[in-house]
Amino acid sequence: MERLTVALPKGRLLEPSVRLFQRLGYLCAIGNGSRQLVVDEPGVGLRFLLARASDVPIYVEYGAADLGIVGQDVLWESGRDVYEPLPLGFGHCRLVLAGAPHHQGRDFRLVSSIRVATRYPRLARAYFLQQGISAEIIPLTGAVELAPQVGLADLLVDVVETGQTLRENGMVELAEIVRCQATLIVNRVSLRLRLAEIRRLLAAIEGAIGNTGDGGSAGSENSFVVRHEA
Amino acid sequence: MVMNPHSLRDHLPHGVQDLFLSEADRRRRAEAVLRGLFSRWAYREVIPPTFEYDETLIIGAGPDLRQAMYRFFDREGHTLALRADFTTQVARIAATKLFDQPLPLRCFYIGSVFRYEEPQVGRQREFTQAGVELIGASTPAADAEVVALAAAALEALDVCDFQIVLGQMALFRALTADLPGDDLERIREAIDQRNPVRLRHALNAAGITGPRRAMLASLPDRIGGLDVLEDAFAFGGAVAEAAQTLVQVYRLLEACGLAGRVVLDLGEVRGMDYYTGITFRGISPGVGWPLLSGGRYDELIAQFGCPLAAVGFGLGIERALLAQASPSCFTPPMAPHLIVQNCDHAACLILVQRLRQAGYRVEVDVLDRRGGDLLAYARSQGCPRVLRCSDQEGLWLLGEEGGERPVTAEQFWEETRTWSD
Repeated sequence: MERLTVALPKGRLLEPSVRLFQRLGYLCAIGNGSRQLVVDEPGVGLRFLLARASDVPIYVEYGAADLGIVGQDVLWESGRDVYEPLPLGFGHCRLVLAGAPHHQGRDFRLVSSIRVATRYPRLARAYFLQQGISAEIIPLTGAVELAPQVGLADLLVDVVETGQTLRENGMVELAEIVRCQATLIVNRVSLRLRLAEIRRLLAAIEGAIGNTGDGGSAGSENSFVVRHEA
Repeated sequence: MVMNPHSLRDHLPHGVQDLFLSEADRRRRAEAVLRGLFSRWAYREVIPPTFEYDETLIIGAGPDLRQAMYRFFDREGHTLALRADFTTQVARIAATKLFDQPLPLRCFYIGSVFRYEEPQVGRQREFTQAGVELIGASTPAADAEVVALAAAALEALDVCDFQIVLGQMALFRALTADLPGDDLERIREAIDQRNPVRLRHALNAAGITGPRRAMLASLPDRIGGLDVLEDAFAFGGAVAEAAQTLVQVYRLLEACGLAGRVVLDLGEVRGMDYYTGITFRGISPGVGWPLLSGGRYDELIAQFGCPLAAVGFGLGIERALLAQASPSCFTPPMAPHLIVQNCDHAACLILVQRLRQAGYRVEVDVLDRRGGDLLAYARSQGCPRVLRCSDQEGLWLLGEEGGERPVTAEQFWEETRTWSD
């Protein structure tokens, strides 16, 4: 039987993800700044691949990887159809609506339309729809804080960890949309076909993170994940 | 670089594709194999139209499917839609045309369905579905027959490595019958995502406690054999009844020799607005999506005015072919057995006609090519021999080695027996 394949996200979640698997005895030979995309250590029960964070749900949905680690923000934005059986208790962040201080206290429902820059168009749309706010979404791929400052947008929707970047750009948080953390995801077919192996791995990971996974966040009332019919 | 002179004219809309040469053969072969199989199980084909009134096709379709339908207007302004699924059409036919026929009805279908969604593995915006509906029987035997037929369909398509995941929507329905829609949907979604944290919160929000909570909270992990049903019987009532049905279906499948193929999964709660009893999916390693899915839907046909129980499945042919053990086994030989040099006298044309009647694939050259040229063309078509036939000189066979030799009619017919398929 082929080994289970785990997709790890490049970027801010890579280091804690690697550390997690190192605690389980994997990936010990990997150095910082490694450019290797597939880590296939002989004699070890897992194969790892390194992908762009937003691509991890795609690898897992298609079954090119059986499991993956990804931020819930990225996962829910992707709308990909995968299982998410285990929040991992690291990589906490919040998806927020932010803007210049003069927007504080405004009721956006009474505005005919506001322009919002975001890297999360899908989640932003779902949020505004739920709040009954008419918004024109401007999808960007980075440095969203710039948009309100140059008049491209009135507001922004983005993830914050400490709020430092917002403050530095003279922006304040107007509303919290959803709390996120890193989560383990599993391909729907793999879970059934490789049940025993995946259960063992899940149990090992759960042991390693010491049940800190429940930040209360994943139970948010907002359900943005669009389901698919097979 | 060779420029393709037609590249601009080859453009197709996103999500549709041309099939030709061996890929077209392979698809038709798969359809023929399934048609044969369904017939041997005593199912009769239904061929519904490709489009109907939108208001008919949306009956029984979930929100995702409704959204994925291609719609257009006729000249009177009616909204029409391309079918996105066959089941609704079969339900309509059963309720409005076949309602007074002896039950049960066994129907199968094979054809294109259309969904305006992003193409996935083995699923373009137009893809081919084959499936069956067994109507007018609500017994475990009917459930088991349809599941066993689904397994037989995958085997017939040369998918060797597959599992059938068997769920029971009636169990989840019974456990949640008294819950308001919002709570129910949150719980269903959390189970569907196998997200324990979200599930815990959803159960809290719905105020569910006791054994029912324990049961619901553990549904995502209940994958395996009959032991996943262990404590379900203690609930009594509809829960125990649903569990009992699943046990009976499983036992029947065991008796069919399918024990190694079937995995029970009580966390399978997708399509709740539609399924009322068992549900199942066929999955295979290396293909991230189910190859087929189906289940019992006892409330759909009633929406067409005729309350009939039903169970069925639909299989994506393109996707199933991705899981074939040896794809070449479905590409039958199509090369001509013989190419005949251009010839206009009756004896030759009669010979060609006889060969074709005998089942040989025979091509007559229409470009007036001779000797080496025609032989080179024959090779490019995978055809090992060329026949020259003239009034004066009789029959000449041009062989693979480039040689040419005269044959009598008797010798020629004798030789045809050695030609392979």
